[in-house]
Amino acid sequence: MPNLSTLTRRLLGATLLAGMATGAMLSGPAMAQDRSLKVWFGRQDFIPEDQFQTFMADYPDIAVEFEVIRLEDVNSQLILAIRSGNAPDIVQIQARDVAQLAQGGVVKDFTHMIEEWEERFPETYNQLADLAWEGASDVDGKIYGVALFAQSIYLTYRTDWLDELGIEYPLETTDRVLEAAKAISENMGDQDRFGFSLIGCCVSPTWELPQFLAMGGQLENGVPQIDNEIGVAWIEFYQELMQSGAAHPDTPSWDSGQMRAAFIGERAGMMNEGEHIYVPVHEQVPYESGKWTFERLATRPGQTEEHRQTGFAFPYIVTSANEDEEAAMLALEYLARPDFAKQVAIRYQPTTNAAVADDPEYLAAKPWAQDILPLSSNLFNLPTHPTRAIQVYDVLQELRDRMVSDPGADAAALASEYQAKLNTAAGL
Amino acid sequence: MATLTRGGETAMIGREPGFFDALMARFGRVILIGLPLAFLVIWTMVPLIWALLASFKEPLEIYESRSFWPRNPSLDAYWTVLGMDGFGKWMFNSILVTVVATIVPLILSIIAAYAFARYLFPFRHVLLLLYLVPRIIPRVSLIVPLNDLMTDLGLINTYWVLYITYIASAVPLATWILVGFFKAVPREIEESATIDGANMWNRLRYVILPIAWPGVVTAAVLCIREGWNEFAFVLALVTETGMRTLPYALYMLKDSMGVQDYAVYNAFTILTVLPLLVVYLLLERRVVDSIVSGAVK
Repeated sequence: MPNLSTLTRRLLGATLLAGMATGAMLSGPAMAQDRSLKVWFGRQDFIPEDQFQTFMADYPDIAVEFEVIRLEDVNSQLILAIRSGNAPDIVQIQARDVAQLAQGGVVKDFTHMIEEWEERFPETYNQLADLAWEGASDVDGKIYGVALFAQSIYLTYRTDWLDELGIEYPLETTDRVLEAAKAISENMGDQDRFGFSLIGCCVSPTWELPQFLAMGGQLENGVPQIDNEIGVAWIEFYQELMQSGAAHPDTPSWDSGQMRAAFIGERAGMMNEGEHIYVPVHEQVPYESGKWTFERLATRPGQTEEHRQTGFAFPYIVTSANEDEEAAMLALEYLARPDFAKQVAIRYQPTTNAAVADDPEYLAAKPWAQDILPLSSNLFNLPTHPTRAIQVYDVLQELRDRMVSDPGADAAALASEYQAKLNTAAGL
Repeated sequence: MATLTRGGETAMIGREPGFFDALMARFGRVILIGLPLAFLVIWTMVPLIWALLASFKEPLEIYESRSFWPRNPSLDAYWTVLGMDGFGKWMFNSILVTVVATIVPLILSIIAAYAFARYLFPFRHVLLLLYLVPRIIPRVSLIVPLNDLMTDLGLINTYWVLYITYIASAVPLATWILVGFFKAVPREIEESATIDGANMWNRLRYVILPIAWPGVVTAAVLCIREGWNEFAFVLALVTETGMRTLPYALYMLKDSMGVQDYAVYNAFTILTVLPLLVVYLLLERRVVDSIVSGAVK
């Protein structure tokens, strides 16, 4: 055999044997522990900095393993893991999926353990806002865990640009948002600036659904009701941003990253975005400079319906695989402690632990925290369809993409077409 | 140039090929061959070059500027990737499963392909077709049954689950490639070896494999590529961070809740592709050497 020296053959053989041996060794059973707990986080950023060292010092008989499983994949991974008997005890998911997973028997009614938490650790229990429980519950009020982190979407804009253009703020209504966005594109376009940064594809409608609710939109059994005046106004708002040139022409191919980067990179004057993105915005343009601010999402002009500021939670849920309920409760309580919730809140998502809001370290890291408190203190937990939330969101995502890529389409016809699709997705 | 003589008159037909004809011929070759090749090279290389240059950019620069070139070239993204907890482990995992998922399928495929190419056993054509079944079924639809099977075997979150699934998906591909190469080896050469006293193993070892060596290397390259880039199985059958391979870790970098750092993403991609490129280059030389040495003989 040409070009294959004895040495190479031996090396290959040795590698093969080593590989097999390593595989065999590493696949062996783990060391037995008195009690063990497995936790799946939705992002690396949600993991406490001490990586459960404090917890294991407090409860030395409980060993904790943790992994990161992306929030986008966690549902299917969880179902596979449950089938394989390899499921975590606690998993972080998106609040919209709680009811659906509960229906599938994948997560556990943990209400009784939450009550025990209240008895044993009243301090942390009482620090948590209502959204912490609402974001981890189904429509029947059963609690499956706790939502320690939740975000909301706010209208965020460059005050210095609006000052320059002589536009007064707060803007409050969609017609004024459109006016401001158009003015930025028309007057500052030569500086490579445009009015409003939007998403056009690839991610869920997390940004657009809150705008619908802020404009007075309603949901029935978790299905948005868009085939009406409010739905048409909502569609027209996005279409007008595109058609008028207030949004960037490349928007149909933009995901959340490109939308955010346009604002952070000082090319876009406005965006609807969550508070966690203010961290990189602040690094680029310090909040104290007064060059940007935020307000609640815009309403329709003359709106009589209630404005609702939506909260999206990322709850930790106890799965049906959990056999040590006390250990799971203790872990949730540990994650809820202000010190750990604060770490995540500083670098990433805002926490539902109210004690963090007054923390000097937190306030120093997020100088906008006090200003945003009135907007975030009473967030509305988005109701979702109990069994078909994901399918409903898929239709909304498709509609969002159409609103942006086809701004000339008849809004009423779109509303009617997609209401039918939403109803079908919800099994109606 | 030809001449035609009729009634004492000579007429000139055609003319000598001159400079203009040579130029047109060369121009034609450029148009017909050179331009499509150049287009294909650009088509293939531009994304790679873009990824390489993007890996030297600042985190927001990709969003802000359409320029191909980095404003302030920096290796920060590479240091970020190399400093990631677990990067070394993911690289080790990728190398380990790729080596195993290349050597084992090659050994199995060489034996299987030899049998299919040389032995007239019943149903061989049907069996060879059945070999393709695992590759015809969409990988996604295999995940749930595989998960159940591997669970019953207690192999979830182990290297074995990757070895088995990767080997199972590489063997059909390698076998089909090798059957063609083995069939192309003239039977007479083998018969001569048999007359000289060579048994089956010796014929395979000293006659078939050296001649069909480019096929073996081709199959090896494809097995390496399969193992190195495989994503669906590792995503579905492995959840532990320490068991992940590079493609899974790359996927984990995508973050729809923050601002995507494309410099880091591309640096990770380049570092993932680099070992594969080196292997390709090394094996490509072996393929060429084998073909050339065969031609000279």
